[in-house]
Amino acid sequence: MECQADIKIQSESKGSLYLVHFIKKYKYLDFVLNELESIAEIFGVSKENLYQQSRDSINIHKNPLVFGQGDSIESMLQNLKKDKLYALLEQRKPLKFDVEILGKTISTKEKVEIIERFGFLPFDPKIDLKNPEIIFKVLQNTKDDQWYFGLQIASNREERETFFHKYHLRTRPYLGPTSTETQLAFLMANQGQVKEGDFVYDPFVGTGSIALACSHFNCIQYGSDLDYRVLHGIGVGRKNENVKNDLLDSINPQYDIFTNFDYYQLRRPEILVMDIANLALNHQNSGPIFDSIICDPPYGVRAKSKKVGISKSKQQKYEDRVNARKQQQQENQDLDMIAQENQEIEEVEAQEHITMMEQYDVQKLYYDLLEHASHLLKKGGRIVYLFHTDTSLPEEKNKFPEHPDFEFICSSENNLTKCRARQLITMRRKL
Amino acid sequence: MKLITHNILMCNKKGCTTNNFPLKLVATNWKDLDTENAQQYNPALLQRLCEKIEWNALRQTVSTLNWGVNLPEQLSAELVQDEAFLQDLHLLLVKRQIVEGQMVCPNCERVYEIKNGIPNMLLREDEV
Repeated sequence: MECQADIKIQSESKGSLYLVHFIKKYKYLDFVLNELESIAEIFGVSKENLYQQSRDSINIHKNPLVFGQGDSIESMLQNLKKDKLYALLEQRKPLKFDVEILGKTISTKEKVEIIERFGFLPFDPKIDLKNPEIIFKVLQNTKDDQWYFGLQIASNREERETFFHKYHLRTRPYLGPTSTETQLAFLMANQGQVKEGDFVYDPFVGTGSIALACSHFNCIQYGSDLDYRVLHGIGVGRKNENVKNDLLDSINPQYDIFTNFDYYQLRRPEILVMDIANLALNHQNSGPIFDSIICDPPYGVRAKSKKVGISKSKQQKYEDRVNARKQQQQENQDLDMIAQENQEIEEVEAQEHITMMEQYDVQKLYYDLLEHASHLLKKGGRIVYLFHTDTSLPEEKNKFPEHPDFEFICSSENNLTKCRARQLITMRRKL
Repeated sequence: MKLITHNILMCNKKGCTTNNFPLKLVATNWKDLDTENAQQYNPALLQRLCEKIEWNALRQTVSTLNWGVNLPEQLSAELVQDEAFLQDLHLLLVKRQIVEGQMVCPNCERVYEIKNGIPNMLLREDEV
């Protein structure tokens, strides 16, 4: 999908114009509008709220509040909303001007010339290039040939400056083989509109990567998994040796699903060993429990779909083959060979997961998920999940799950290979 | 596991459909976590939890636990503004983690074990 680099947002309540500038060449480009819309729905689009949320949004690069706009720099300057601008200038805070031309590069000299055009403004500026409290932005979009002048209210340029940087998998003490990537996990939390005090449920919680992102927003997080080993820190999950923390060792020396939550000082999630096919949740009597359900169902590509009571022989054969290959790979010191082997493993997995899908019927798994969600989720509550598509398969295999109690909100695509992609699907329980 | 979780769990064994909630809770080891920012006393959060909780199930369970907290028969609008009451709830619902114990179905007496703070609600193949 083609995505515009800049989006104008007209706030309905106050008539203020905001610009949101998204990072281009970005692997989650298809997610940006969906995320913004989800966030906007939580807060309404006001300056304070945009600021607050853009600090915690994965996609938003920066968003100036616009004081003036025009098809040339002269008409922009003539159209300035002077009352708002002057009120801000009277505060005499340290400020700087920033010039950005989208679609072409200009020299520093040209930038200075543009800034000097603002010399007519009746104020004595306290310019501070290093620590400005106010950043004015002059922006020209060469695509629609519009000039904008405004106040920058948020920016997330460098990843290390982002709120989610500290959650990077590299710096996380407890990891699993299929831990959901940090950015994707936060995108999911925002799609689910997770707010403080919400009850949020992940029925395939694993090492808790998605739960961790949701907990950042101060929800009451529930998670369950069929596999007790990953929850208790036996075998599947592992300690990340790069992270040393004595406090952690004293609170919880065994490294399990709670470790990361203790480490980041987030509320510990409520964890259950439970099978989604046999839920022990009391919704029959007390009605819907959760405000949102956010999860990555096991699709058979990286982690296999299972439920209690199914023969495992075919799956065992598959595991043996993959393990044999991996062992072979470990013994092989030649890096090129390893790369080639990896590709072969992926190809094998790609072929194998089709057969497994049929065996465990992934379509059924998703339908069951929605069926359970229709009882567990409050009306208007969102379910957000990943769904895998493969264009080399017949069309009906790629059909998004449907359920009469749910309406489709949006989907965002994350390409994995030429044919295969992950879709982040957001649905809402009908009111 | 905290009491907010016990509060939504029921027995789902095959054929066990009545009197399967709340499960009888036996807590043999528990711990109050207070080193974390997220465990701070937050009246607004507690008031929100009051809306979600099955009050009778909570009150009944707490009365069997000998934790030195007694909950009133019914929730009321005045009560959820009362500081002492909210502090009790903060301990019961936010801070106190049940680390080891059991939950027993009042109907079929199926036992669900709690280990390292995680209850095991999995049923055997002949129970589903």
